[in-house]
Amino acid sequence: MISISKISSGIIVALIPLLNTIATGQQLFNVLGGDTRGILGLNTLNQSSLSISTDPGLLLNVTSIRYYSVSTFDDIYRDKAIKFNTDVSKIIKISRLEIPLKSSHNSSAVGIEYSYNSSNIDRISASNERFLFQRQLEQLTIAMGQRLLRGRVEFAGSVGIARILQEIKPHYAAALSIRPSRMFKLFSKFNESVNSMNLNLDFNEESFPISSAVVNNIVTYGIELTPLKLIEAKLSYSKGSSHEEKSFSNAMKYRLKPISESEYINGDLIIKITNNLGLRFKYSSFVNSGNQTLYHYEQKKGKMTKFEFREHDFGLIGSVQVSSNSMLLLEYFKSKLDGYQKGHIETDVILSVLALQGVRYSYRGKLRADMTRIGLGYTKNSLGKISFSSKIGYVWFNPEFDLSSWGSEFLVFGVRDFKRSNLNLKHAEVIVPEIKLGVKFGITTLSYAFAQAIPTVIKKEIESIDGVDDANRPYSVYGGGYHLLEFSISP
Amino acid sequence: MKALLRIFLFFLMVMILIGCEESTDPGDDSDSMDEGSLIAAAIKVEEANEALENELFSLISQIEDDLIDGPSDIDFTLSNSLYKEALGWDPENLDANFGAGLTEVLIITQDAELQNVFDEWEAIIDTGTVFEPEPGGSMLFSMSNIYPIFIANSSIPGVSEHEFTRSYFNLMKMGVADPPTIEIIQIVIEENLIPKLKSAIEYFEKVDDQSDYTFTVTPKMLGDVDEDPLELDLTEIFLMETQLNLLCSVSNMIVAYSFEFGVYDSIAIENSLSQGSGFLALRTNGAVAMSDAKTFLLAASSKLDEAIDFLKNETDDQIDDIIKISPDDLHASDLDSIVKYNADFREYLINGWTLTEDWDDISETPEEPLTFIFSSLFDNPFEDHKALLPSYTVWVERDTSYYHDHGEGTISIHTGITSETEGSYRYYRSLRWDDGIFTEEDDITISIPEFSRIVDSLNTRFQELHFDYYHIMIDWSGDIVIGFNNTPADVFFYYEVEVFDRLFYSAVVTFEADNFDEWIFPNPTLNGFLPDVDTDEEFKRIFGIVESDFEKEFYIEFDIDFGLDKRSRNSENSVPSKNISFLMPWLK
Repeated sequence: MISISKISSGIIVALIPLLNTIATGQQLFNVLGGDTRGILGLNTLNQSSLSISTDPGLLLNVTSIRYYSVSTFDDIYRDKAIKFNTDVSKIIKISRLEIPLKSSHNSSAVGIEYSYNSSNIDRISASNERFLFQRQLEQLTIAMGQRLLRGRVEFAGSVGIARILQEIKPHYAAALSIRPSRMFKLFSKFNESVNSMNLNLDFNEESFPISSAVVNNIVTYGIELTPLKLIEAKLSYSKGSSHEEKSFSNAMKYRLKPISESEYINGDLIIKITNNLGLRFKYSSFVNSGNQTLYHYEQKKGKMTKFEFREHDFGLIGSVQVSSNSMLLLEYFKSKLDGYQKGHIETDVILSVLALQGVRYSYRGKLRADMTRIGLGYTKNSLGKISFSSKIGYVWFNPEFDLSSWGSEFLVFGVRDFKRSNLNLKHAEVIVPEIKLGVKFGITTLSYAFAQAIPTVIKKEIESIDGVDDANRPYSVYGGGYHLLEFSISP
Repeated sequence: MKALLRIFLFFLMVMILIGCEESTDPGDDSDSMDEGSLIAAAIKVEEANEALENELFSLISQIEDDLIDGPSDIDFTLSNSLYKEALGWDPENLDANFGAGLTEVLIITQDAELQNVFDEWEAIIDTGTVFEPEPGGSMLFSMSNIYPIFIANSSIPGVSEHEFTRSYFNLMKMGVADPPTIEIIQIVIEENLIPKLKSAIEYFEKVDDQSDYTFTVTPKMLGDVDEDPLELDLTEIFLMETQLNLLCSVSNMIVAYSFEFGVYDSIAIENSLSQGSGFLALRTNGAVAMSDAKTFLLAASSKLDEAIDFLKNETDDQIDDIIKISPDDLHASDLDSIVKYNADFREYLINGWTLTEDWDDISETPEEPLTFIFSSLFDNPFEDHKALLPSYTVWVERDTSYYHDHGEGTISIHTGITSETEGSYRYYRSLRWDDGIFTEEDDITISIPEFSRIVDSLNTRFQELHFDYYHIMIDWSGDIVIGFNNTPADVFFYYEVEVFDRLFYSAVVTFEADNFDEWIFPNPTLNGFLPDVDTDEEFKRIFGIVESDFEKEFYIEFDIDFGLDKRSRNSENSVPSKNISFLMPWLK
């Protein structure tokens, strides 16, 4: 009989120290699928790494054949501590070929893109207990866009395949935009894709691999307004839903069956005060909620009965054109996060009953964090051949996390072994310098960006999860480095 | 609770039964039940279910409401009384019987007094190393050397017979080591635990012959309104009965023997350890308790079979069942194994077991079969464990023990001197105290006052502490120039000392026998437990007890200060070892 109780206590054991580190926020956001670097303010100098495959506006702006490639390595966090060694990293690689088919107003274009996206959290304790989280997505997509009626109507569609848990799954998307007048544009977009994650827990030389494959559907509606030449506004609303992808040929040992819904609102207002001075307001909110059921083959073994995650971001960016080829940026961002989840995992029932113990472990977790970031940036493009950008940001981060867990006292009833754990990290401040250099040789452009998060203030609570003071334990922390290499060929 | 389990399962292996007291049948008058009573009972059950929901939900919701350090106790008496009120209207109401049984158990789980007892019990059992008889002359007191072989090949998968045995004998050790604790445990078990357990078992038994009975565990009862409801059927009920019968069995075992020691002084120890005293002897109802223990044990075994049988024959959709068979998790073959071992266990328990082993631990002699009748431990329990030994007398003396400690360290001296001449100098001193003899060697070519002060001060301090042995040494040499010179140096020291350990009573057990031939075990069959061992000679032969094992006297030590750290070393003239901090205030 499989010892599910090991998993239940294991997940909780793995989760607590994982969260109880300096990089808690980053790791958690990664697990939740958020863009860590975006929140920290990194990578803002590099907008072109976004996929254009299903965005007709971007796709159709291609005026010549272009090859584009970008690779990023995000060494988010590593530590070599007494109790745990932790490694958190993220890799993104994109290669894209963009081909314009016509050059008139009724233009059309084709894009072919290969992308590889990998997130990794690896945590090994001194006693060789291991928590391994991996998310990998490898996709090949073909997109085509068409502009009609002198640009009043644009549409694009894409189809592609993704390698998920060693199997090939399709994905597709469609987008449509209509511009009735020059003052506003309506757009909508739909896409369906498959994503996956692997979680592996090793305890007492036993391995508990948990996999999850999810079908995501997202519909987006939006409007762009340009009432005056000096004002641009964009507002979009997305509604998404996720459910399990069932059609995998091999039944997975442990699998999570998620059901969730999400809403995303994004607002963007750009005001050109003068030719040299601009202001940009950004607002976004994201809500994701649902539940997940854990199966051992086809047997239910636990359930996250509810999870909810809310994020609100507000930003203000000022830009000053210092000269014809240089610009100064000043930005302020505020983010608030709220997360909650609860659930249970079932144990070996018969043996638990004979052992006079309950048969399930339950937990409740709450997360709250707020983050404030200010940034100052400078961009210079000399003679169009060499470009230089730099930015420095300062981030204040205040997380709160509370995890309660307990077993049932008698069968499924009551409470025993109640434990409560708080996040040891109470406040952190991080300085983030970032630099990007670009060189253009003829039709070829090469650029490299590097950023490093440097903690300046870390405040921890004395009490740790074990009741042992580890606030001053010796350990080394690495990571926080971000590398980006871009390459493009455009005649 | 693990230790508790070990004991329960031990009894599942080792004991025999008589059975719970026959409960009065609340359903005798069911024929005359009118419609109104049935409706009233149903209404009360609904109220009780709602109360139970609220009570269980309150327990969990405290966690969500605020950041608490632990859910506080919840009182299940309201739902319990409502279920019982329903039984007053309709004694046959299945939901009321199940609910009353369940809430009896939940009340037990929330009983703070019981929880404290279990915690204390577990702590003592886990560390049960108190009764450490001297080698030889105490063979029967050290029965843990014999008992494991009785229960080899545990009948329950995953449970070690060694664990059972250790727990059982640790229980006895606990009784000897800390009688006040086990006396309290006995009282709490008798008053708080056994009545509730019996009551719950009776309620469940009213339900368990209704094969289609199910109880819906609502999400609120699980403490989470987003949970899925669960179906609780007879599989779970039979298993709960298994659990309760095991608990009832071991509880009866615990209260069967007396551990009463009286006032904790030398006279009480002498009286208690003497043969014929009540200590380690059956209590007034001890024989009944042992018999009950066997009854409950066999009932537990039987309910386990019924649980498995019911589980294997379930035909309804298992998706919402708490316990279900799964080809990938809980296999039907696992269940078959449990049933097989369970049957073996009953056979061993009732009819005994013959095992061929090297009982005398002498490799030259052949292994031989030995039969154990487990049921005799319950049906014909030892009246007095002490009477199993050859005749002896006891006297008690108060004693003190010391332990040998030693320490060493270095004191770094940062000082300097002002000289009007230059040259190479040395400051060497070695002071040694060895059991009353003091010797000093020195080689001093320059006076450095701070060196002298530290060395002399250490010497004075070590004399005051009455160290048995110490050695102090400083060895400095260097070049001195005219003017001020830094002269850092280290003073090394090492000491040995006898440190007070503890006060204890030493009970001296003296056998009346003066030699091995007179040293006769009066009950070699152990009340029929070893039916083939009917003479003292046979007993000694089988277990390899030879003349050299005989000792006229042996000692048992009892700490005087029960309840405190029995090995406290911070009293009287204790000296912290390997730590020079105790010298620092004085050196300044």
